[in-house]
Amino acid sequence: MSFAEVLAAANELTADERHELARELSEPMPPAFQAWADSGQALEMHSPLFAPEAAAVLLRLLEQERAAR
Amino acid sequence: MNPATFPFRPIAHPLPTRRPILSIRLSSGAVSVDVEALIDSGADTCVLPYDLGLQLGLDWSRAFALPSVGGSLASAASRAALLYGEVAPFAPVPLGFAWVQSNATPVILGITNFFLEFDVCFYATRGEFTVAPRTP
Repeated sequence: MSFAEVLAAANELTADERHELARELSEPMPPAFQAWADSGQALEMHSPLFAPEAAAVLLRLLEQERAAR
Repeated sequence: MNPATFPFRPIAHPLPTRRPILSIRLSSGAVSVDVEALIDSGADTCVLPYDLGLQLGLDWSRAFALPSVGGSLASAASRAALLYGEVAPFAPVPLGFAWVQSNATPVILGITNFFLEFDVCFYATRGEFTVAPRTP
């Protein structure tokens, strides 16, 4: 089974099965991330991988803020 | 200044794994909130969930509109939030966030501008990462 197939299968897990995986961890998951895990969405899908326009605007605003201080 | 070392922390979904999650204090004016944030070297921007922005006292209607941040948040409107971020034991630094109209995301610390303020080294083989203020 390829890694992509493993990930796809993991996304099919029920909430109970995900919680079973969580119980197998030796440390508690940070609370903010527990709700995220419970949402059933894949971690990788949250990354705003490519947002150069937003980044450029933020940099410009930070420069303006810095100049104003 | 010597870098501070932090452990990778466990995430249960989609498979048990660990991620570089950092405790950081975000401040806007006199309001501060301690949060756990994902360090994401593949993200172009830092991301602030909607409710956390409200908790920090931000006003969505007055915030500067941003282009889409992409990924699963592409359909969520985003606006600029200029905050201060404090990673103990270091001094607070200005951080710009894409404040998204969604709560389906953790706080994300991306290239703009977390990685422009801090030098971050990942040592996944030993389950830790280091953070240090940038050198001038």
